[in-house]
Amino acid sequence: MEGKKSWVNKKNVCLFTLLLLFWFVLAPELTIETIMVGAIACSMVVLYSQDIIFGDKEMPLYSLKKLKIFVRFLATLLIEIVKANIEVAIIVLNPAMPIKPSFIRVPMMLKNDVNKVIYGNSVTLTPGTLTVDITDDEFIIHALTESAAASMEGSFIEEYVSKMEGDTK
Amino acid sequence: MQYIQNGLTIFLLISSGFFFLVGTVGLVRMPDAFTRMHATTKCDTLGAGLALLALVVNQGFHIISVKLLLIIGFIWMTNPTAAHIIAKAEYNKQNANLEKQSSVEKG
Repeated sequence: MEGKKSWVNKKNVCLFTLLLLFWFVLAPELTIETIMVGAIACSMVVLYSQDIIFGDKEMPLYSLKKLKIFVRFLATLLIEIVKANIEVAIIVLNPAMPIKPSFIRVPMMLKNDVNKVIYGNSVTLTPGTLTVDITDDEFIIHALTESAAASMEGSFIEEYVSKMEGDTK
Repeated sequence: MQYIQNGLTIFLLISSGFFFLVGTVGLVRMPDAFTRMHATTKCDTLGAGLALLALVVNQGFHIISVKLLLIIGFIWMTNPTAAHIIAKAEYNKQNANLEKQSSVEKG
């Protein structure tokens, strides 16, 4: 492909390699055909999506330091999910069902859209809390119990996501 | 080794079944849409995650286990998004109802 020469830059090569690796994971077996089909499909995806992916706004998110924080965040999140799941299970199976649903508003402390999504999804994954809406200046979160509502203030999610965002400025 | 693998698989499957059961019981018992969302998102995150993890353990170290782990990742990414959109729809519906009521009271 002669025309591809002008498209080769660091960003596109990174994306291409990632997509190709993903393709190899999904491919049933490694033969010449799968490699060729994968390479063609990946280069087409790269060509079509180069304007929207890895934009300037989200680029500062991808650095080795951020990745370390993110991995630690995922580990903490996993442990919290399991712990909180058991709590919700106890509440549901309790005959009295001690729930006290309420809406809480967490003021927006993030600027980056990707970080907002990470925060919202993590809050939903942690049982007892559910992100209902994200507006410009706050998160609207539904909490199942009082303790879940209280735990949203200064939670570990907030701490980690702010840390991930912190260095971008 | 075989016994450990089988035992771990059985344990993970039983826990996954337990969380699905809790999710369904919660769906039946909870009073309104939001609290039901709480119960059902939980059964998906941990129930489906543990069931797929059981398959990973049963499969051993293989390319298929990598694929299964990817499926867990995707379920955990899409599930909160779906929950979020349902909750948002319910929230907007309630707000619209409140506004309608207040406008009726005024008029």
